[in-house]
Amino acid sequence: MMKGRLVPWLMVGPAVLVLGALFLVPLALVLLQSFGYQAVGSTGLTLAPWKSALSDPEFMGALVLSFRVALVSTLLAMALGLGLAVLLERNAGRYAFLTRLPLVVPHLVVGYLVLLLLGRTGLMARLGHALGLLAAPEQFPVLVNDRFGWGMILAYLWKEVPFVALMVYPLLGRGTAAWRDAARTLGATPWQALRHVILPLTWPAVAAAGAIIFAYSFGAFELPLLLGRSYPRALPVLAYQRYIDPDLGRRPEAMAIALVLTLAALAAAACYLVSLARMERALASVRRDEHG
Amino acid sequence: MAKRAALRIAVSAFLLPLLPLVLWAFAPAWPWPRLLPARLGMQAWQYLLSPGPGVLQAALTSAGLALLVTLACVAIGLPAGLALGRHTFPGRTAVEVLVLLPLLVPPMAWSVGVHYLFVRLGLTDSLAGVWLAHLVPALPYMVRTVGAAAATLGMRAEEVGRTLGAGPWQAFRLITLPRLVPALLAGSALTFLVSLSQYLLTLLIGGGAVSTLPVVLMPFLTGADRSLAAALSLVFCGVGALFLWLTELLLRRAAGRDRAPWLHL
Repeated sequence: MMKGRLVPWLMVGPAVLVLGALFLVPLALVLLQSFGYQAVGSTGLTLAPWKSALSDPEFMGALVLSFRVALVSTLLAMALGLGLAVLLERNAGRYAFLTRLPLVVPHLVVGYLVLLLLGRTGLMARLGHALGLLAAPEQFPVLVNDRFGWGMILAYLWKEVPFVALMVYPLLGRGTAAWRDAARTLGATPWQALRHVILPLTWPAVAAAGAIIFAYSFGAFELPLLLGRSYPRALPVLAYQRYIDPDLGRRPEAMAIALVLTLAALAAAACYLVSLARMERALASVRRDEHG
Repeated sequence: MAKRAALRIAVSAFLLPLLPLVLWAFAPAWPWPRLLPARLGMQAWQYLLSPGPGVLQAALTSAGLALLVTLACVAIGLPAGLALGRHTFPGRTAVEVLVLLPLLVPPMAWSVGVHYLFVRLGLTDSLAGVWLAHLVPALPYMVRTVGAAAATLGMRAEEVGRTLGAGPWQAFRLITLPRLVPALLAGSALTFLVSLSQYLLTLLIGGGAVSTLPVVLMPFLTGADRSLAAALSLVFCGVGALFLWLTELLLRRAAGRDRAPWLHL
């Protein structure tokens, strides 16, 4: 029986080895180095890197910016994605390109799409000029490299709204439609049916997708680099700049910021796992309703 | 009716941002405030396809790298996905969490640790080092896609084969493997696209010695020539689209009318 128990471990062995050596060990090194382990000019373990990273005035600005962009992107993507899934009804097959396109267009290019559409000489500004709404590019609202982060938010939305719809869609089967129709027959407005029937029934999928989007948009590097401002930079960009600083003594600060990113991702992972367990139960009950 | 109109507006809003990108790629000049380019031309493409900017080289490097990452993910992810999908064993939950985390913990958080490690192992500034690093974000997609398919498959068909006299390897090769082909193809599409779009990892571990498409593209995106940047962006999307199209073609053949097992996150 010993052999039988060993087989699954042999099967997952290579994957565990790869992720252990290239993901867990590096994370442990980041943790150690954030306390000055083997850092340039450091003697033993110390809290100094954390102190200087967290007391840096740009850190607070970066944290607020990254958190705001991630939170607004996530909430809007959840709402719009649920809306899109509802609008698609039984037609998802015809609109398969909605989920294929964001898969094929990488984040860097999505950032450039936003720049060409909403930059101050972008297509929208030109449209405004053609309609006589503005005379010069400077009159167009700053939507790219702006203080709030709208450029980044819009880029994430383009990428993630179809993803939310894709996650929610399986929960919108006939079972959910039957509940909604029952609510409508009993006099609920379409809005009430959405709020009190469809939202509770699809919430696990919406929340699971939201956890993934929050983790991604909080920790992403490319889009803030392209669409962000030079001050404050987003948290991941700040960590990168600290890491490549010619003063190697600043690297432990980069490690401390990297750990802040890790902690946020772990919190999102916990939300995701809870939502996923609920989603599996919800899917099972949707299937029961469809067969019953 | 209102619903159909809303859907049409949503789809248009989604497609609209692609319009300026495509126009710019074929517009040598598009001065403010013109609504449409002054004239169309292939100048950007002629420059990009000439050997100077190294775009073709970068496209080949990117595609080759993504293909190697995908092959490694098939080799490592197929057994792991099978074990997670069909067996219960001590430590299974821990392995499942380990396979989930790289999807959520951003590269910026762990890649600096990989860099520290690879400097000591002499793996920085090399294609091999970048290949190893790309496995981390890519592998979970393969394991999870195969795992979900294996869980639905169960053990019954294979057990029937075993009862009829097939050896364990024979039963796997003739019964289980063919039914996992759709999941392997879907997983391959995802791992290829994940590897293709890595910017930070390639920049940090490759140190400029490994020029992939995103590394070559970034300076163009912040540069002044929008036509070049737009054309190169289309090349970048084209490589991913080509691979996705190929896998879907194979998928349709392999799965018949079955629905493709898309994202299993």
